[in-house]
Amino acid sequence: MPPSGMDVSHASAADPQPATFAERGVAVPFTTPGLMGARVRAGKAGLELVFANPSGARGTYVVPWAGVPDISQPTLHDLRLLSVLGGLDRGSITPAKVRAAAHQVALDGAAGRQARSAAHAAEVAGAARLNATVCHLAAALATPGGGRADGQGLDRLARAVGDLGFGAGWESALVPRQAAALQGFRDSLLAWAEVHAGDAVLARLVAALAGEALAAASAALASVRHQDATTLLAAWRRGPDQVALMAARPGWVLDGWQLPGLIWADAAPGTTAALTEVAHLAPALPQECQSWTGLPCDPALPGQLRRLLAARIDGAASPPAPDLVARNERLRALAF
Amino acid sequence: MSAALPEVRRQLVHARDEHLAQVVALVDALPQRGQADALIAPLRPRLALLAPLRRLTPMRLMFSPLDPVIIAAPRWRPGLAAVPRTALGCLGTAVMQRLPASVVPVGMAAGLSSDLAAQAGAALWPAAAAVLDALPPPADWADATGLPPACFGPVCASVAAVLHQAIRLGQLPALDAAALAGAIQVIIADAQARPAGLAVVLAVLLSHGPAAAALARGGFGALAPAALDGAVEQCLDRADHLVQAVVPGAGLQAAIGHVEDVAALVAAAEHPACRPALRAQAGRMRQAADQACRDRLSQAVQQDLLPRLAGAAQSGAPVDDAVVDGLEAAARGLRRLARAGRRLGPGAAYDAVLARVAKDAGALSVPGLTRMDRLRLAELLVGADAALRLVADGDPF
Repeated sequence: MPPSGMDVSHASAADPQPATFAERGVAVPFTTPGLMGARVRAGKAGLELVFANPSGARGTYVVPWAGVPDISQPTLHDLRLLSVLGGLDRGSITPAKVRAAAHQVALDGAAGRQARSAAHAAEVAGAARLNATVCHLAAALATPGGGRADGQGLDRLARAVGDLGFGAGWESALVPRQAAALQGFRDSLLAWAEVHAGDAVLARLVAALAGEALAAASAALASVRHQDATTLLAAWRRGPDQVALMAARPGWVLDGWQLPGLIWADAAPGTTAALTEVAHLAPALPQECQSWTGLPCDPALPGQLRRLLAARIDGAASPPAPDLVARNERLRALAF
Repeated sequence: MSAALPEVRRQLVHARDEHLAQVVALVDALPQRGQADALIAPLRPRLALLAPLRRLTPMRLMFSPLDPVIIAAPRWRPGLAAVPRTALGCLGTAVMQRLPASVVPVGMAAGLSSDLAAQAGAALWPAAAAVLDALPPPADWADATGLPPACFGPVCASVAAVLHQAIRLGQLPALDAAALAGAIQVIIADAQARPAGLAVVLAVLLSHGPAAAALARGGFGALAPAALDGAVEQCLDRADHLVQAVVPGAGLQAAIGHVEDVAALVAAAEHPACRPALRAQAGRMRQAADQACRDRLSQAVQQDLLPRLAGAAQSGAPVDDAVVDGLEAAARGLRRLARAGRRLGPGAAYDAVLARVAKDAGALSVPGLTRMDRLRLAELLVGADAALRLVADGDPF
């Protein structure tokens, strides 16, 4: 039975994949153990929290935003995050908006001084990255056929595409960093599977999901980043919203992979317990991804993963909640 | 040396901690410890508190899986699920002479991480166990151990039994509960093939809190009652020592670990599979451990948190991140100790201590400590809801 106040929406037996990215929701970096892996999405009556059935069975729990504190004993950090996210428009639920909200909460110190310092440092680095993107785009204007753009327009375009990595030091931008981290996570899982036969199937399943996300992110990224700056400027002048939507796609595709990657790295050189935890958190791509990238996703992977986890759920125990909160706060400091 | 031994011992009893650590390091470096071991024998309870970094010799690494079941020779008797300390030197010397050089690690230092120790032990432990399986009684057994020749067989079998399982035992802390239960089943099934050492293997398992809990959850399976009772008896004796002598003086993190292990052990020992006398002993241990934990909590408040806060308040300089991190670590430690204590006795006493500390901490004026820092400290001590109730205006954000 689900906890009171929750709706349980069951996916079909054959297809546990969400249909769209909006339906999947956006991962929220909660520190409360019971909220880890939960996602926010716009529902008919307002924001909703969605999370996988913790028993390992099919289906997801859906909780109205206002009801979240009643079911989860949230940390102060999460109460603050719930409050900030609750103030967003329903149409504003994107990975970038959720990241910005989490950044604001970390700057308040709600996840501790280390996370606050990391958020400050990320703010400085982000400003430098934005400048580099603006410079890269401005240089294109100086070339023959570069066209015209005012400073405000350049700034808006740079903000829209800056996370993808343009100009000097492009690899330090958000999406290239996320992709590199996910690649490292996937490689580590596969290496671990080689020497841990008992957990190899589960580790390879998580790695397969990570591989799908990497391929999809690479395709989504290429559609924007491989345009030269002149072409990008021209596209922006024709339809800025379309460019912004395209530029947001790699973030949607990679959304939700940061936490499992950090948990796995934190548990280095890897443990069975950490593998179980990251497998619970591994996100499946929605069906919509194929229309974005042209790449097929194996619809059987999420179901296989769920069945494996359901078989391991008996007797599985987590570390005590305060220890997990401390761990999660430590990971928040590494997430910026 | 014999003539001077009592006097040297007397001097060591009164030696300062750093001098004691130096003496222990010297003794550890001796190729043949002999009577030098007797020098530090009376100091072992103090060494347990000091926990000095000791050179991890191959011999110490070899017997490290037996740590929870090593007891002073005078306390050992046949049938006890323990190993007399004096037997280790004698057995160790005999084993080292027969081990292939390839499995003996070299260049080991103090403070070797558990991962590296496990790597080094992975070759050493099975090889040592195999040597022990076929080891004839050493000629100096009686002189070196003070035990009659008849004791050699059971002691040697016990040591061998643990070393046969040492690799698996070392992996237990990294396992989740489901994997832990499976690993314990494998260990016990294998150990039952050597019944003479089964009780000692069980005692090592029961000394590790999560393993003790897993064993009890499984109802102790089809274990021989004598082996189970022997293991529980030994572990309760060790728990008594931990509660009375170690927890009051150990550092906060070490004390938390001991209380968690004792709480799990007591719960396991109260299982109906254990004989009534042991269950009654476990009940008494529960009360004693609960009291020791409450005392240690009060002590930790006075030693670990409030002085840090008071020092920060008096310094006049704004606190930096490191100070706040230290305060939070202390608060987390208090909460964790209280959580372990709640498994032993009523939680209200622990809650009351933490609530009082949270209130006192909030009342101190500390330069640079933000409103959020204060809320977080209170949260770490009493939880988010209670922390918010402590805020007068009710709106922390």
